[in-house]
Amino acid sequence: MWISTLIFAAALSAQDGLRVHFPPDSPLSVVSSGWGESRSIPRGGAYIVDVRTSLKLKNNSRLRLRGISLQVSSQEVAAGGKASVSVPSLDVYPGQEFPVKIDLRLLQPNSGTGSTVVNVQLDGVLFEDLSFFGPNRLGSRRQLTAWEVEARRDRQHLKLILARNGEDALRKTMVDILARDNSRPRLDVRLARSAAALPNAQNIETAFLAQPDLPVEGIKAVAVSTGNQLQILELAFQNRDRREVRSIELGLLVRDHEGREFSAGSLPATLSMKPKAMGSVQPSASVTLNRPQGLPMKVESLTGFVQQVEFANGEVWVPPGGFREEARLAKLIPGSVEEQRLSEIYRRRGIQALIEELNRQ
Amino acid sequence: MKHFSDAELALASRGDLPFLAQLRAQSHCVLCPSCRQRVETYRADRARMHTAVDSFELPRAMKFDELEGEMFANIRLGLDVSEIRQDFGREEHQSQHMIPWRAAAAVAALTAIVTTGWFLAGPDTKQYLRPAPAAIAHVRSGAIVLRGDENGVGVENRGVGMMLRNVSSPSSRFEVGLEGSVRTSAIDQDSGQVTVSQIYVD
Repeated sequence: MWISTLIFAAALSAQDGLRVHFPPDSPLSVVSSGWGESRSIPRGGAYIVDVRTSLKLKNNSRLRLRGISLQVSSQEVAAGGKASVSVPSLDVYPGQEFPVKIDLRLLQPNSGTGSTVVNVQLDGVLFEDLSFFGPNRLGSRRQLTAWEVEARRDRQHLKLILARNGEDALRKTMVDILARDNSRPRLDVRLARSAAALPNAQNIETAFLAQPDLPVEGIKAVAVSTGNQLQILELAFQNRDRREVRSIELGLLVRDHEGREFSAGSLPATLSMKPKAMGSVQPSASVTLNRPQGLPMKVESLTGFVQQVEFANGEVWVPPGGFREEARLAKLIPGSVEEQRLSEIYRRRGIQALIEELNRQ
Repeated sequence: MKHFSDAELALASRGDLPFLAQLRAQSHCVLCPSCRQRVETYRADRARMHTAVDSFELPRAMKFDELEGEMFANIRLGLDVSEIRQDFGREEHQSQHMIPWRAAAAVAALTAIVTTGWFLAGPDTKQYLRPAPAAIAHVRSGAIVLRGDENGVGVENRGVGMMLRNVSSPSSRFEVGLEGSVRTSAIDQDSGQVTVSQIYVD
C-alpha cells in the first residue's frame, strides 16, 4: 500500500498542476503560485489527494483592496458542484502583495488517469470605493460588497464604544461577543433539493421580523412542516425603495414545540423587483432539522428577516448595527466576518492590538 | 507581599501581559525569589518544549506555535473576564479569585494532554483515520451531496469529490443556503485573514 502511495505521490508531482487564470486586464497579478505540501492516501477504490496551495497576489490598482473571491475547480473531480474561496476584510495597499491559501482535498477513483489539475480563477475583487472587477459568475459582487458594508458598520460601532465609554467597555463588548459565539445553539441542517411535497405536512405559523428602514418588506410566507421536516412553499416581498432590486437574502429562524429558537440558515434569492413592485420565490427544497445530539427538532413556526438587499445599481443594504441586539438575534445568529476577525484579534493578542487595528483604517 | 497568580506569571514569562502589568510583574520578581523561580520554570519548560517539538516535522494542522498561542490567548481572556467581573460585588468577587486558578488548571491540563498526546502519537497523527465529526450542514441534490463541518466544506458525487479544508483552525461559523449551498468561515492563524469557503450545487 505504501509503495502504491509513493508511486501515486510521484505521479502527482510529475503530471499534476495548479492553473491560475486571471483576466489579462485584471488589477491583480499572480506573483507566485504552486503546490506546497501534498500527499495522496489510498482509500478503498479511490485516492484522497491533499493539496495545499499558497498564492501570492499583487494589487496593481490605485485603490486599496478590500476583498477577493476565487473560483476553485478540478475537471477530474467535477462532482456537480462549484467551490469558491473568499477573503473579505482585507486592507491591501496599491503595489502590496498578499497571500491566499487554498487547502484542498480531492477524492478520485483509482481507475482515473491519475493526473490532477486544479484550476483557480478570479471571480471578483472589491476595492475601497466599493468598485468591483471580475466575471462575477458566483455572485461575488453582492457577497463581497455586503461583507465590506457590514465590516464598516461593525468597526464604526466598536470605535463608538471606545470613544464614548473607553477601553473597559470595549473589552466587555468583545468578551460578550466571544461568549455568545460559544453559546449559540446549533442545529444540524439537512437540505434536500426536490419539488416533491412532504407527506402529511401541515401549515405552520410564519412571520417576518419588524425591521427599521427596510427597503424590501416580507408580505407573505407559506411553510409546511411534519415532525422535524420543513418546507417553504412561497415567500412574497414588496420593494419599498426607489431603486430596482436585483436580489435579497432572507435569514430564517425556527421555533420548536418548547419555544426554543434556532437559526436555520438563509435563503439567498435572485428576485428582480422594480421600485414599489412585488415579487415572490418558491424554493424547491425541504429541510430536516436535528439538535447536535441527533434529536429531531419539531418545527412549530418560522420567522424570516431580511439580512441583505442587492440593488440593480450594485449597492447593497444590510441591517443597521443595533438590529441584532434589538431583535435579540445576537444569541441566535453569528455576527459579521469582520466581527469574527476582530474578536479573534482581541482573543489572541489583547485589547491594545484590537484598538490599534480599529485605528488603522 | 501579594504574589502573582500562575496564569499571570505564565504570561509574564513571555512578556505577554499588558504593559503596566508586565512592569509590575518584573518589579515584583526582582524582590520575590518565589515568583522569580516560577517565571524561570515557565521559561525553561517552554524552551524544552520547543526543542522537543522542533526535532519533529509537525503537520501543518498541528504547529506548536499555534497551540501555544491558543493556550496563552485563553489565559489572557480568562484574566480579562476576571477583571470585568470585579464590578459585580462581593459574591462575584469571590469567584474572581477562582478564575485565574481555573485558567491555570485548564492550561496545565491542556499542556499535559498536548505533550502526552504528541509524544505517544509521534509526528504521524493519522488524522484521516479519525471518525468524521457529525455533519453540521448537509445538502442533497440528486446524487450530489454538499457537506459542511468543522473541517471545511465539500461536494461528493458517486465516488468523486472535492473538499475545501480550513487552513489552520476549525470552522467557527456554518451557514446553509436554501438555494443549495454550504458556507463556512475560519481564521488563518498565520495571516489573521478570515477565509470563507463555499460550495454550491452547479
